[in-house]
Amino acid sequence: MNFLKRTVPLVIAFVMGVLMAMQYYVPHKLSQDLLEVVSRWDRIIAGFAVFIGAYSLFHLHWTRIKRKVEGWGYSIFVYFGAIITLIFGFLNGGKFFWNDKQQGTMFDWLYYYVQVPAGATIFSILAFFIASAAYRTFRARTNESTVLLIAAVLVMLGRVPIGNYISQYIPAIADWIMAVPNLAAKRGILLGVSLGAIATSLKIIFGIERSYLGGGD
Amino acid sequence: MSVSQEVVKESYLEAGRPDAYNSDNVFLVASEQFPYVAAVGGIMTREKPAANFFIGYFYAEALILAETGSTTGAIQIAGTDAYTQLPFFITTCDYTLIGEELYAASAYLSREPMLMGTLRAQDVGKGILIIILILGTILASFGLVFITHLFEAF
Repeated sequence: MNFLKRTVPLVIAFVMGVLMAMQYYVPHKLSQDLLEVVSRWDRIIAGFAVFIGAYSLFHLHWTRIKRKVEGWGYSIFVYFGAIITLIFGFLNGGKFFWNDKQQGTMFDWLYYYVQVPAGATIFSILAFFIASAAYRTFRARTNESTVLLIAAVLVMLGRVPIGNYISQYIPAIADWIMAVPNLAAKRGILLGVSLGAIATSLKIIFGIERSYLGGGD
Repeated sequence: MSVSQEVVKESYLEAGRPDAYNSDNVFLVASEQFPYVAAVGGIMTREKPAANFFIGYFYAEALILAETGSTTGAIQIAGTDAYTQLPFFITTCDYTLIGEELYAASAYLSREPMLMGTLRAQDVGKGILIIILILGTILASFGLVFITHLFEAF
């Protein structure tokens, strides 16, 4: 059991990790074919992972309905939405699911007129959250937040026409802030992140980092 | 999903409270960005958890999640290598792991010599990169650009 739970996943991680890292540097057709096959496998495995996730979601909401926990009525909507979507997905505009996906069906309607506007609504909240977060940050209580406030005001003014009306130097200062201190900090973080990602990948490939396997050595 | 459940289960075991583990507490809410935000934001508002951890790569959902958590009064710890989202986390969270610190977190917490060694290797790698950058800048200033082109993609 330990062999299947620990050794096999570690061997798969090592072999695939080394293979795919090497594949990146080999511009041969065989190497490109391997990438395509592995990518296809990846999509298939991800498809199965969705089933596990969906099972977990429905199990959770079924338990909530069964136990009548607070707000259990919302769990009914989860089932309602999923069943309606599944029905129209299987119907596929009268051509049924074993044919290619049809365009302009009720399934598409649900996506474009329910899911997309709902997502856009959540996204629009971001504007208000940016304002409230900016208000908290820009209260000049420390030297750092004062510098941040000045830099932010200059960049904001430099990005709109009124900045140029106030002074022709404001857009130039805004560009300098973005191109020099901002870019320097960004590149510094990126270098660290890249090295960290390489080190973490190596740790996983060589089995040093194995927390993803769960517990029990 | 299974990996997440295993990791949480292991954490309960290590804390000596395996009886407190409930697999229903680790679940998938949505596979897409904004449905996920709506679901997690709702959970934070209704259940008011004492602490929120935002670890991983984030896009536009970062501020919505962190700001919602901030309004509930929870302790918030974030860690991300998405530099575009870092200002949002720094603004709204109590502690933020910036970039590479995210990768160092497991070594910092476990103090395992092997993991600490990889941190040392990262620092050495960073030192080498800084030396190459300074050397490249000096040489390029004098018109010697071979080191600048050394790392260019073909």
